[in-house]
Amino acid sequence: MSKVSGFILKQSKIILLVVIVVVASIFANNPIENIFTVIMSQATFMLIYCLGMTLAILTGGLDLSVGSVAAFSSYIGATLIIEGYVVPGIIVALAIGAGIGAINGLLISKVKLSPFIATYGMDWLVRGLVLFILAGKKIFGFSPAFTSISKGAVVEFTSTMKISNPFVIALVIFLVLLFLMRKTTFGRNVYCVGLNASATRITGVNTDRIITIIYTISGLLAAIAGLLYAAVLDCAEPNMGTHYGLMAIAATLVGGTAITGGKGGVGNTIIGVLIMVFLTNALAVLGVSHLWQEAVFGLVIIFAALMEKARQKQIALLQM
Amino acid sequence: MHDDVILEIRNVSKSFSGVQVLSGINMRVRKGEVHVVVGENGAGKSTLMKIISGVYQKDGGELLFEGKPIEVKSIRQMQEMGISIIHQEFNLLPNRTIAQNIFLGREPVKKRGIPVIDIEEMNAKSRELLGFLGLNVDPRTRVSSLGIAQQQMIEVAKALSFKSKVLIMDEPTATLTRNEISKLFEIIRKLKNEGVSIIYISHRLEELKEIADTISVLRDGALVGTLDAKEATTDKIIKMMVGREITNQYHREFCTEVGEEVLRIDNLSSYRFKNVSLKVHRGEIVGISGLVGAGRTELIKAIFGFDRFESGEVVLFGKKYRRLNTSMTTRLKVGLVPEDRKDEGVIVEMPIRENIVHASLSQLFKNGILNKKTETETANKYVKELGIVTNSIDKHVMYLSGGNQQKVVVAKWLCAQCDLILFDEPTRGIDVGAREEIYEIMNALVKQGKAVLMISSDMPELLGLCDRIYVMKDGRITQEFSHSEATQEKLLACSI
Amino acid sequence: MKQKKLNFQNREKLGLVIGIVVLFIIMSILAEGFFSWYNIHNLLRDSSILLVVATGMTLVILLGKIDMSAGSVMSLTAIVTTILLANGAHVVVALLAGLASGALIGLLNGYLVGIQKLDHFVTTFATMSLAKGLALVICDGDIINTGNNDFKAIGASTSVFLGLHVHIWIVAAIFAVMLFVLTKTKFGYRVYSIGGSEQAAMLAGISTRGTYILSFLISGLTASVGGILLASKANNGNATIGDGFEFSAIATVIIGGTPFDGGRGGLVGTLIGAILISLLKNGLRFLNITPSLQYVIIGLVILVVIITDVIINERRKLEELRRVEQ
Repeated sequence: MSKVSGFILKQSKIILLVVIVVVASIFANNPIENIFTVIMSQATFMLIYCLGMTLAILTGGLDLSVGSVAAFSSYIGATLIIEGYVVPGIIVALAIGAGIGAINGLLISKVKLSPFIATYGMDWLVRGLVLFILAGKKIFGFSPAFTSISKGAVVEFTSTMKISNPFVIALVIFLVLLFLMRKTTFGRNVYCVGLNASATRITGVNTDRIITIIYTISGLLAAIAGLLYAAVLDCAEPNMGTHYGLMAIAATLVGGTAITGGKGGVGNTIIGVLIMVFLTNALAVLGVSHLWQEAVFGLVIIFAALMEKARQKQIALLQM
Repeated sequence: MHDDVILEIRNVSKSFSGVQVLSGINMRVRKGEVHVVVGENGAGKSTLMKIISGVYQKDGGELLFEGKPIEVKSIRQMQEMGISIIHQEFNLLPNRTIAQNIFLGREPVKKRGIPVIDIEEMNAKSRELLGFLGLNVDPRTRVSSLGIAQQQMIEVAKALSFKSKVLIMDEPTATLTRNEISKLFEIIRKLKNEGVSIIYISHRLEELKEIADTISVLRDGALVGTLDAKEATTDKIIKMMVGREITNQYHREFCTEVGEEVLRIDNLSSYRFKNVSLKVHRGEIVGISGLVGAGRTELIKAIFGFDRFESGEVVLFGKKYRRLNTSMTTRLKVGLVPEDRKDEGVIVEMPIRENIVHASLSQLFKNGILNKKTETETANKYVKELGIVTNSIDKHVMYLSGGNQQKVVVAKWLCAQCDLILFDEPTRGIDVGAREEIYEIMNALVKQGKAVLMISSDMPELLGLCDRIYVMKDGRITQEFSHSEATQEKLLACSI
Repeated sequence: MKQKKLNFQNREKLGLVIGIVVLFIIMSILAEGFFSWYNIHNLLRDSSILLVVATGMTLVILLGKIDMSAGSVMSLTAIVTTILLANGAHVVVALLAGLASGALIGLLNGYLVGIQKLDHFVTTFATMSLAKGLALVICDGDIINTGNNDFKAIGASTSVFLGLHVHIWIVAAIFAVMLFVLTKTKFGYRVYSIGGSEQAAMLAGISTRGTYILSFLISGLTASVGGILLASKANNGNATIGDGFEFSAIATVIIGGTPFDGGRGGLVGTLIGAILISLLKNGLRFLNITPSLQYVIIGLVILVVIITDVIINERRKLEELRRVEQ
């Protein structure tokens, strides 16, 4: 393969993103405002739970429970928040998210369930809990103390173009995780577990603990995402998050993290998330019905997986 | 040409990644004879058989079957031609019946062109084959409910169903009891009478007397000689198997004064080894000899905490342990250089630099934060010290040669300042130059007062390096030799 | 040596059958009207839909893979079929078109997994959303009323032949054919062989690609049939009709004794699993337990069964290892 096509393959995602954003901007009424809105109102929230999925995938696993955990934890938290106990409510929600994540991690590392089974089963279980035990009623009408978390902004250029609070929160989370994954020994070991868990274990690393921590973080992030959504929508509903799992896998794979683990990372996922949200945006701006979303997501995942396979083949060929 | 020669191997050679595994092999197998091929681990026996049966492609030489040269294209082709192999690890499907396994992929159909299987015919034909082999089992039995000896018979039945003229058996008696071996030999004699030739790979020299017609000895990938079984004595054979000069590539100054005990195991048992006890002291290189399958790897993995052991204790640096895991052992400064370099020793899709520091992360980066400068310096230090050949420490380990990969594994443990390093076949598949370097490393280690426990199938290596050698057989320690007592013949005699 | 009749697998199935009988007896005691031909017939009719989808799924799981798109294929087929009917198409044409849509998804799965060698979970997860998305687009998010009496006849509760509902007959026929194919044809043998050990199968010269493609194709088709039957009950097309169904189908197969790594088990177990799950659902409904609690209970039961299955398998593998080494 020539150098040019090699370069294109490597930067393909960024090129793809730029193309999509350009298309969206051409057809949008107010391109700059559009970009701001998309990023602030969609990308930021999505990024948070997608990062959790990325971590799980890096270890060679998967976390299909992100959606229901987001719904469950934020819903329970909301029951307290609505009574005015904002901070306790938030803490409870985060604890629940982390707790469920920890259970996932233990099921996977100690009981040796496959991540797919463990988290898919957990997803159903938790979703059932939300719908049933909580009798599925929406909770709304939170105090401004809570809703301002999501609705507020750090910098406001205009009423529609601003650097929102969630953006800052997402950015901070992203930077923390980026640092954790790329610059700490823990992060190094996460990648190693994904590449070769036995060799990592031989080196003396406690792989069970790493896996459990990763899934705990994933659950925690799902809870954060759930809370932020509840705050911005001013409503906590038990049906939240049914699509999170799918979107998170799509964003992670599209961004270039390999499903087998050990390659890619949170930096890749940001690109993946941006591609997904701007893709949705471009479709909307072009007047394509929102019903096409799911179909498009499915195609995008397939496309990303095929590209990843092609890239692997190319690397293998280069060796010979 | 003898006209009763059914298979002739002429000047066959084979190399893997630059390492010559077979060179200029010449062998003739006659019709209806049992031709035994012996040699140490790594002598090239399995490779030769895999070439004949179609698993590997030879690099040079010719194969002649029934007098005509043949081009080996696939396993199936060889099977149909009449050459079948029974591997050490069977290729049976445990949840399928005997008949289904025998006729795997070539099930008889009721009517030509319609893919409905004629189960009755399949079962009937299987019953015939089983009957010939004296196996009184219903062909509708699931293979998983059969014992090992019987499963082996199924593999034989499979080969027979191809009307094989040459049957290759790789270490068939390794897992059989005395009775089962007798039964197997009966079958082999029966097959001989039918004109089937058997090529039989084995270590077990006492058995050969019972069954062999001809014996070919391989050593270091070359044919040392072919004997008529009547003329062969066990001593003669061992001498041929082993007869190299012990060169002084080991540079070893044997330990005169032994340091404190770093490792002791007492009656350690697991499902693969029983009641094993041994000790290792500072300044020593201790070896474990034995045949493949003797349980050595399982033992060393259990000592390291990678596998569980069921009973007994491990005493490391004076402290007793009834349970171990790798986090504990590495914290105690023990390291393991495993047999499977690529899948367990090192992470091949990761750069050299990261692999080298991987066991020392908490020591090098005290607050948990990686530091590229420290990593670079450390990695470069060990690359230089061990002579790892690479133009960059950012290269992924998978692009290195076997010898250099092994050095990376060792570097990892040296970097972790290990006091005891366990080696499992440290120089397997590694070129001579790198071998010598690894021996130097081991020497240096124990001179500094550290200790080494190594498993090896390379007897000269054990004799050249080790202060003491334990021999394992069938999961137990049979003997312990000091380096002055040990000879290759003695070691071999205790492992068989 | 006589073959032991009560080997490990038969023991599992016997356990399930006993479980079914016990459950049945308990329910009959607890709930008024449970033990009636009407209810039993309903039970059979409901389980038939689960069974037909699980039939195709069994093949895929025997191969050691999974088909997450089954539920969405049901929805897609329902939509395709009903929309054609609503636009006046002949019932046969509509049915064939519905089946074709399932076949296409199945072929896509087979191609991506069997030839491109993509991960089976990611692939079928993606085709799941692709199929569901297409369904949504076609029906524009609405429910489609077919207005077709022939179609209605397929699903109507009165459509009974010899005392059994039409659905039961259709599924029984499909099940019987697949049982024959799986146990007595070369293709079926290949499925078991590849699932048992892809390496041994390849060494024996079996081509794996064709088997994968055909198996996913069949899985897509049986899911299609399931979608058609389900749609015929209400005589309308709804894009959410198959949501989550793949989970039930997978659970049915696993509970029936075909493990995730494939190679053993089969359709008979799936049949038992289908009856068990339907019995559970039916029973819970009878006991007036709310749908969402049913959800939780069934989810829990399935999780417990799968976890137990995994643990038993791990133990079994360890024991086999022990036996081999001795």
